[in-house]
Amino acid sequence: MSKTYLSILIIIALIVIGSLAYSFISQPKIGTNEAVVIIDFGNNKRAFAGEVIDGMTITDALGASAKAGNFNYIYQNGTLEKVDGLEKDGGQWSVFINGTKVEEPLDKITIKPQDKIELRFEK
Amino acid sequence: MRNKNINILILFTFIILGSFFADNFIFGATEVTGGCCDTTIVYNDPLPDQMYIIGNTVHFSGSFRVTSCGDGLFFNKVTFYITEDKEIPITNCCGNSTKDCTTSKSCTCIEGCNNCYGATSNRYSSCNFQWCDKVQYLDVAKANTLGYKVYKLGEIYPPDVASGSKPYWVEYNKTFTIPEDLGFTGPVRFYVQYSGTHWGGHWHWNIVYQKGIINSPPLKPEPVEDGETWNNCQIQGLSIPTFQWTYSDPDGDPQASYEIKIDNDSNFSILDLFDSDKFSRSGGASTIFTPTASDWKNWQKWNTNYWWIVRVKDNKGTWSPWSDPNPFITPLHAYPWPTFIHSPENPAPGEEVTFVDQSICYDFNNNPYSCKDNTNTRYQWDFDNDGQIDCDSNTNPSCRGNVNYNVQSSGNYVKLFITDDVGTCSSTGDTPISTRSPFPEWREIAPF
Repeated sequence: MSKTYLSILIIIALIVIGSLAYSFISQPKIGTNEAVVIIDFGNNKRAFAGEVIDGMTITDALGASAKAGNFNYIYQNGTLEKVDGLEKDGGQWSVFINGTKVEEPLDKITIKPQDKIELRFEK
Repeated sequence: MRNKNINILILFTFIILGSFFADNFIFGATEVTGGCCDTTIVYNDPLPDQMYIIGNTVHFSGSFRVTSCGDGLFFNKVTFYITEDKEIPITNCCGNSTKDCTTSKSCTCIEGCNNCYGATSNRYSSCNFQWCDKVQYLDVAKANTLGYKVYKLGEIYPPDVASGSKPYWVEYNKTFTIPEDLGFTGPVRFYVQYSGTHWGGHWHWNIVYQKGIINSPPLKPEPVEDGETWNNCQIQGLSIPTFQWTYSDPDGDPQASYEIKIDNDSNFSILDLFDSDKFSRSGGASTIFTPTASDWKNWQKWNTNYWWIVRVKDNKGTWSPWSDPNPFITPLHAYPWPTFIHSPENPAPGEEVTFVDQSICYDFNNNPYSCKDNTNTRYQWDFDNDGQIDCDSNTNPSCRGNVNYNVQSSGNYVKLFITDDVGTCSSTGDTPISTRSPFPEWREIAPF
């Protein structure tokens, strides 16, 4: 094996290790007892994380996120009407938990650590 | 054998009934005195315990005859009275109140012995017969000193009865109107007083009464204060009046029922036959009437002049006159209907809660619209229900519609007042708010 090939192999290995390391470093750090709420407004996203306690529902997680992110939301009659000024009249808020769309009222679904709750505003 | 018994029973019944009718028949009436040589009375009318009101006619009918001394009666006089239900004293022209048949003309009084008690006879020119001084009559003067009220309705002088087939009866059949100035009501007595002579022998007399009732109608009802109060905020889109009137009855009888009429003109006469759109209802002892929401909603029109009248009936069945027509006007349109919900439903203490306004107001055609769409509509929020307004759209237009507030504790009531051109209504919406235990603090992270 020539020096050239060895150098290329090292470079590739460094690139792979570096990208893996970047990927690992750039991932938000989520504790083992925490869940994540990601809000996709269409043109931007915001994410929130925090501890999950017994009986905590999706709306509770949303409330905790709203407090952390200083935004308002309106949830009434089992429907998410408005999040940070974005009302469902211009589209629709859909909620997913771990990639599965939630069809039941949000305040009836309890979450557990490591859950990923995603709110998407879909036009 | 059995038929024989029945026949005997029937015969016995006829004998009893016959003797009853042939003798002194005073069905339900009370004979005060029958005179010295018993005078028979048949008292037909009034029947016992009949009820009358002032202005009614009362009919007297019956007859007198001599029971034990043969037939033929002259100088006949029958006098009619209504009195309070008291023992009206009796007397004679000598001032005695007891029957004294053992003496004859112990005194000679002008009215009786010389003046025949005002009566006349075609057969006799003089009436100065035995017991002319014993004829008894109601002592009205003494009754008055006792405070007993006596009203003389009138008197009649039946002609001599001494010819034709026997037995001879002095009949009376007279109707009187119960006068406005009677001066008393309640339980009464209808007295009939008779005097006359038996042939040329001696005087006869009889006093009998039947009990009855003169019932005063309740007084004409009067509206209490303005007559009606309004409940504008209890039912969405509807203002409901409550009508209230006075009840007073001179006899102290309680109200048994009422009848109320409401119309868009003040003509409530019975000739107003073509106006079939009156609102008429009746009820019991209450002096307050509130129509049901459905009745009122279907009948009333907004911004319309109406009049109402009421009459009341006492527990003896006598109606008062109708009250005077009392005017009122319905509101321009329905009052505001404030309402809101809060989100999140169970906030943590100190968490900001959004109160979502869902209030409905009404325009001049009573069409509903969202109150917040009218900038003339005033919103006032009392976030902690302490009576102090915390957010007023007159000073802060953002108070009109949805508002936010940091709720501090569980059980927090929030009150919203909305004022439009007709008035103000308030609501606590879906509060009180139940707060939950605080959740752990979350943090914002980089989206991924």
